[in-house]
Amino acid sequence: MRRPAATLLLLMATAGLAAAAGPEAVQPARLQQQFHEAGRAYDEGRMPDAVRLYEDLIGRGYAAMEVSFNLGNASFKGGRLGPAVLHYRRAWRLAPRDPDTAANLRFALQAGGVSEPVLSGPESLFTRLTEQEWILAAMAGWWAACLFLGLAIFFRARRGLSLRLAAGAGFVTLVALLGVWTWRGFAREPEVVVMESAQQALYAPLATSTPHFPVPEGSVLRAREFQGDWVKVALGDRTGWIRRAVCAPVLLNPTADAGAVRPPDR
Amino acid sequence: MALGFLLVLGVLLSAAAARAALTVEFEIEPKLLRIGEAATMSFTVRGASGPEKPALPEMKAFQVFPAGTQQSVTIVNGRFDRSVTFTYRLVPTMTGDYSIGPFTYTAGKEEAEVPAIPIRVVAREGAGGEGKQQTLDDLLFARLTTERKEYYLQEVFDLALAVYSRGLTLGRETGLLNLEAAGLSFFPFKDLGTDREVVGGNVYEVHRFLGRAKAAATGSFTLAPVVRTAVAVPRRGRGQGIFDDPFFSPAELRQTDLRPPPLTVEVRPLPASGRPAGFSGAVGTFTFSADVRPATVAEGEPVTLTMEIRGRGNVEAVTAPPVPAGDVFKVYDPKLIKKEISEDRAEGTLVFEQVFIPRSTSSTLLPAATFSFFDPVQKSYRKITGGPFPLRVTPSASPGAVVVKAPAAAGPEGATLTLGSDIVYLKPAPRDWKPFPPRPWYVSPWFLALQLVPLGIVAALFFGVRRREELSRDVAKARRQKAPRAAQAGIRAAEDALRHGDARRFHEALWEALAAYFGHRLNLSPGEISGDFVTERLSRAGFDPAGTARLGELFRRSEEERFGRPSPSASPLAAEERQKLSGLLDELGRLLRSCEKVKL
Repeated sequence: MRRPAATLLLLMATAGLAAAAGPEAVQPARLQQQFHEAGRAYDEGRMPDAVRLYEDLIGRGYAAMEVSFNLGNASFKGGRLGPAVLHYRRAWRLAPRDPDTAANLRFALQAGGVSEPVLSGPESLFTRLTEQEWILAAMAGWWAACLFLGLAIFFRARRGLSLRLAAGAGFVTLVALLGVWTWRGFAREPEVVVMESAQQALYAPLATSTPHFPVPEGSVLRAREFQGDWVKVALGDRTGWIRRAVCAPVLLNPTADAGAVRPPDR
Repeated sequence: MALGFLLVLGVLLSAAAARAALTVEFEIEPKLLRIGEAATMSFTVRGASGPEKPALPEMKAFQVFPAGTQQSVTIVNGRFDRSVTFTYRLVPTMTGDYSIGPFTYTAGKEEAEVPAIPIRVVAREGAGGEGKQQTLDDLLFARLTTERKEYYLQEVFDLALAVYSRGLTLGRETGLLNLEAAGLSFFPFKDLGTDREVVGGNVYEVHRFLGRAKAAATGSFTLAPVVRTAVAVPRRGRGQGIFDDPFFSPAELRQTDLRPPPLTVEVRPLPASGRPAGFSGAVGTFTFSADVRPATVAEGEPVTLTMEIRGRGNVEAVTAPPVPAGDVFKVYDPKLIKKEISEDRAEGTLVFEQVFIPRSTSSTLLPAATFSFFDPVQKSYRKITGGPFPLRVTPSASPGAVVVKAPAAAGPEGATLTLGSDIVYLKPAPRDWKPFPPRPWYVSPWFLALQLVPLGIVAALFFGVRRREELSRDVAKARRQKAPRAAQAGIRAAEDALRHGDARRFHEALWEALAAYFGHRLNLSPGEISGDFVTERLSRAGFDPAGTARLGELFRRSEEERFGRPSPSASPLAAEERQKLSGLLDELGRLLRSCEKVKL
């Protein structure tokens, strides 16, 4: 009687993971080869080739942290600050604790005279783990809390200890869910990077509107609102409107946004 | 105790000795009166012990009535401050403009000069006002005004709102609605308080507000807001009884909307002629200063240009002026490092920093920074220049190093942070080449459903343990629930006996089934169960009489076969008999299922 239930659970778990899987994988050897080819182009100073090869990998859905980081390097060395910051920021989302990504992002911003993106207190705290890590922590906390609750129900003698452990595990779950909520904030107010130089945020979404404040190339802004061709962005405590065409979103969906990886030609 | 008393006395005496010199305060409110109204005149004396009443100057046009004396004592920072206030009622008898004072007040050997206060007395009603019908508009109206009717684009200007009332009591809250105009942005209004003004020969109480607006677009703008206030009106009385007395029937506030005359404002574009090349939209009156540090620097090391812009106007839109450094410097974008804006957003201070790196030792002059703005008062553009700034650039010690100054980074102001000479090299290939799924795995319905599993287990555990504990406490209930299973065991034994054709064993098993079932249902031992007892309980519980009789018969038959005469069915069962007994078992099963629905 018990075996069918366990089998059903296993089926549910594997089906869930299988359903979440994406497109069929390309041969890793070919991807590896392309990755090394891009590295060779970088070493030989052929930055446009390196950029093209890395972008192709991302366009096919392999937006690993290493690919984004290297694409950032190739863009920076190729004199394109906006794309460099964009790809460093994408690499940061995938590996927020990687010191190299933080260093290169800061170096690129400083070299361009652009302010570093400012995160709120909770954002600075919770973005030390990725969203996926917070999900796993929440799941572990939740299952542990249920386990300890079950033990508290079953073993009356150790009820106090089990309940305390359940409360602790529940607290871990709550904190982890806060971490997930913080990352979801980047979906509610996405980050965008200015890809062109000499841009100004305007007071209104009109080409004739008065300039409000400058947004140099490489600025990382939070998008508050979209209206036609315009996006309302926030930089510190100021908000203004810029054209969507001059910025690119950091949140990457490689399947849907593959065409948006390459910025407008200058 | 004595020491404490002496200490307190000492403090008081020294405080008394440290009292202030003689000062007087003379005030009359209001300063604009109608005939028949009374003003309050207060004369406060400080720094005098036992001051005399003031010898007021002669006031022919007023009747003066004393209204009391008030004394107060305060000790502030060890200073003993005593004040006495003499209050009077002033009732004017003639219209006109008067001046009360000046005069001299003497207290002991000290004297204080009291300045004059102007008072104006007007007639009770305006000329020709007697007999004229009054409307609410005569008693309550609002006006919205500006200093000028023409402004320039991006200019910040004042908006004055005044609410006039006569003979009415207004609520404390005043709202401004419908003050919108695309192209104008408004800042919150400030309450300036209340004063009096004569309009059309009548004295009005005027509540004034001041706001600011900024013209963000050119054109003609008509402002027609609605001023919402509340007027106190007496509650309607029901009769002449005690409860119609104003003490018991206070006023109620009724919302009233006022519509001031529309105000039209023209916003002109900034003039094109005379516009400086570096003008970036600042409108107002500003000051500008610039400074460079350090003045001596090594080749490849940064210098910082600090620019401060202070003034009144569209401060928030001000940007750093451009510096035409040319190719001899590597130039970074300016950064805003300090911003102080007043509450009404019309004035403030901005400080910018911009980094320049001399490319060679010949980069010896940082060009001037010129801040341009349009002065709407002068109606012309103005330029303020800071610099140029001579530099002394020495050869670099480490030619390959790239040192980047980060004005906004942590560190002492003016310090240089060395962040490294280049970016970190490429990363190696990832170990796993996994494509990004179109949707993260943790939002799939299966994953989410899986998280309900532990909750389900806990719930099942909770209810299971609770049921177990309930059953362990309530034996009768536990036995009641066991009854069907117990009967089932007997029925299976009877079926087995039937298969073997053993009639006696069949009836034994039948009896076991009946006794087990009703023993558990009635919480009795099998020995206490009898057919009569069971049928009597079934009848009392309202069980179907036919069913009850049938069960009684089954009991009797089982007893007979168990204990009675040898039955013809003691020998191996014939097919017909087997069928009968099988039918008996089915019937027993049906009857017992029916008994489950009855409460015994």
